[in-house]
Amino acid sequence: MKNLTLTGSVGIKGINKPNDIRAVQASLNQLLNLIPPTQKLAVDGKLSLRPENSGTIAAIKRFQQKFAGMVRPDGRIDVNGKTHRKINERLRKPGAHLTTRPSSFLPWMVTANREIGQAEVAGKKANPKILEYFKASGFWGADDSGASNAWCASFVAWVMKQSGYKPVAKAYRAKQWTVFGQKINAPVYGAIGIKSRKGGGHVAFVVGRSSDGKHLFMLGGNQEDRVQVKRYPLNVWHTFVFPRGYDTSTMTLPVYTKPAFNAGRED
Amino acid sequence: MQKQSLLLILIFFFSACAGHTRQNPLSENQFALQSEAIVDAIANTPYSALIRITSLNRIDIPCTEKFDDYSEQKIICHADVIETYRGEIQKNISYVMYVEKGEEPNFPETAFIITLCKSNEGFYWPGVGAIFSADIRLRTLAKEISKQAENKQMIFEDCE
Repeated sequence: MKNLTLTGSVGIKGINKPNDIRAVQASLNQLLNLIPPTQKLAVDGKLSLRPENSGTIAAIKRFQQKFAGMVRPDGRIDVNGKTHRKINERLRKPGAHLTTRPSSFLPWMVTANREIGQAEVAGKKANPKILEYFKASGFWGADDSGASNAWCASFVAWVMKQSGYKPVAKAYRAKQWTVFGQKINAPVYGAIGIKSRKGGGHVAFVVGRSSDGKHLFMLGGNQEDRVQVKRYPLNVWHTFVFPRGYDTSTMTLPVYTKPAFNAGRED
Repeated sequence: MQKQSLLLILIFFFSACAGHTRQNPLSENQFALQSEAIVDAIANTPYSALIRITSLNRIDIPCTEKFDDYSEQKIICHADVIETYRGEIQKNISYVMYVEKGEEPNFPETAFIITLCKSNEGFYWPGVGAIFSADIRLRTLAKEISKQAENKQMIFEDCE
């Protein structure tokens, strides 16, 4: 990504030339996923009349707190100062942007990935981890196998709860997840996808697409009785939701290249 | 002799009936979870009853698209109805469960309470959270809740 070039300082008590402000706004927009819940900034070269109330200043401060080690961020980027250098470091770093290394910025995806391999125990016994998923969703099942105890939605509830999100009411029902967070028009990495069928449905996390765009790769629970990535036709998924506070318009859906159940390696 | 035979027949009859609903009492935690959910489930479905499964039939649903790896199955469940809580009273019932191919329904071995949806094709299972223990406290609660249910209710959230 392009470096941030400044001719003067930007921010509180800065010189604040419009072109420099524009450059800062554009650069911070490239790093939005590092500084949630910052929303996309207007690239207009302006700060508000009271700069301390400006979204751009708030974003600078968040960046300073997180990456420049400033306990009391001053909200100003000086030319070649620490904040300026750290922004350029982040812009240059491969994978700094969500589209190239998404999982490091979506805490629930880190959690979900760690659960891959958790599987049902055949018979009347149950995997204690799956019973924990049940607990997170408020489901009373004591056996982890069978359609009556389908645990895909409980898995999503547990994962989201680990990241501080409150599961929806009746979170053990896949369809209930359509009311979580914000609805988005198209799948992006980390979105929660919901598919319905008469009686029930399925819910899982989006991790990628096939190279022809006809399939989605979904990381979910109860996919062939375990937590794993599975390939599904795109058109069976009718709703995608994402936690509030993220600007999903800057996110994309990568082609999935790792192994998955019922799919060969995608190129 | 006749009296003894009659007594034996009666004992057999009552123990067979009890077998329909024999159930270990739920723990307090389980009861709390299920009692909260059953109130919601009965309010949001048109039919609820205490049933015992008698047989199952499986039917594959052919894929409508030429996708190689995705298919569903229809399991038709036949059951005796022991107690009806909501909906038309009948001695037995059939309903459909839609599952992914190969998935087992795994019903409780004894009788259980179920809530069902209804379409033009008949009853169908609304999904996870529609099966409850036959614990006597839940059965009593189901009866009470059903009395308050609206007969003319047209929209059932769990069936949407």
